[in-house]
Amino acid sequence: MTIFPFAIVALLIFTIGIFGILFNKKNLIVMLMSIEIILLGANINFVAFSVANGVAEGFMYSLLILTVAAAEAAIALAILVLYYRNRRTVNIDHVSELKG
Amino acid sequence: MNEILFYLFSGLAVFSCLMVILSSNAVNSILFLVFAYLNVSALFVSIGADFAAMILMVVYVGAVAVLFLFVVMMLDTDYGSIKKLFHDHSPMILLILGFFIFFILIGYFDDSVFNTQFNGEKLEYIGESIRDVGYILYTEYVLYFQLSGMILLLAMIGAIALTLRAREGVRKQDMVKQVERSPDEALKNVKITPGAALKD
Repeated sequence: MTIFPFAIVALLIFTIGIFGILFNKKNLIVMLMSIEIILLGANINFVAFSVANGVAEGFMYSLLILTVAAAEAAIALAILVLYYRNRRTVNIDHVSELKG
Repeated sequence: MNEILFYLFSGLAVFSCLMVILSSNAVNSILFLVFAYLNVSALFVSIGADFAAMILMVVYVGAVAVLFLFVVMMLDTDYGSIKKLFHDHSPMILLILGFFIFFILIGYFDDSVFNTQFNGEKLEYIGESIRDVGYILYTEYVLYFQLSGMILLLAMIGAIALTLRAREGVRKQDMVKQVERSPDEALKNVKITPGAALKD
């Protein structure tokens, strides 16, 4: 079995994440989940190519991606809680009020 | 590696990623996200990347998805789904689909990129490779390792500092104020004239 199906799966998942960010007009939480999906797609590529080439660097980068994803989720959800406390909604339409 | 298992798990992963985006209920989205992570880690196990699969399961399913679930339960969100799919993003859609088709064509025509085989020898090597990951993590890439630790610390402090709020009207013990009290300001001499309270 070649690595090509894995690359296709990773590409599909990555594209689904990008589409989820682009087309989501209402809910900020689903947008954050789309970012997690994008990072998952990148992770699949790293791990699959690392296994196929027999090097350990891909695993290390996958670990770093996991770290950054966890940190980003924590910060983003904190901002979301703060925003909800001030606005009583998590609708995206009102986020751009600082635009002037 | 069994190809039927690969197609099963990858199909389920892609399907559940789609359902994360298309589902109208945020709790359902999170559960589908967990299901996608489980399928992807099954894919990782099937190519011999046990360590990555377990880390994915622990970090994502155990921490990130539960964090999302808590926040969704705390917030009262209005569950909006994707309604107007093609209204103002049409060039973007074409661009992304173009990239998609471009990569598939590259993989189809250029044999050198994607035709790396998963063979048994390398697979066995990877199965014991937690030691190798630890080795390169502590020698060659130790700066990245320290940097990721700093990122986690920053995220922790940032999340706490963002959501901390000082409530008003709560009586708290203030040690510094208590120790700084001196008899001069704590005691007050009051001269009481006899019968003053009855005069009104």
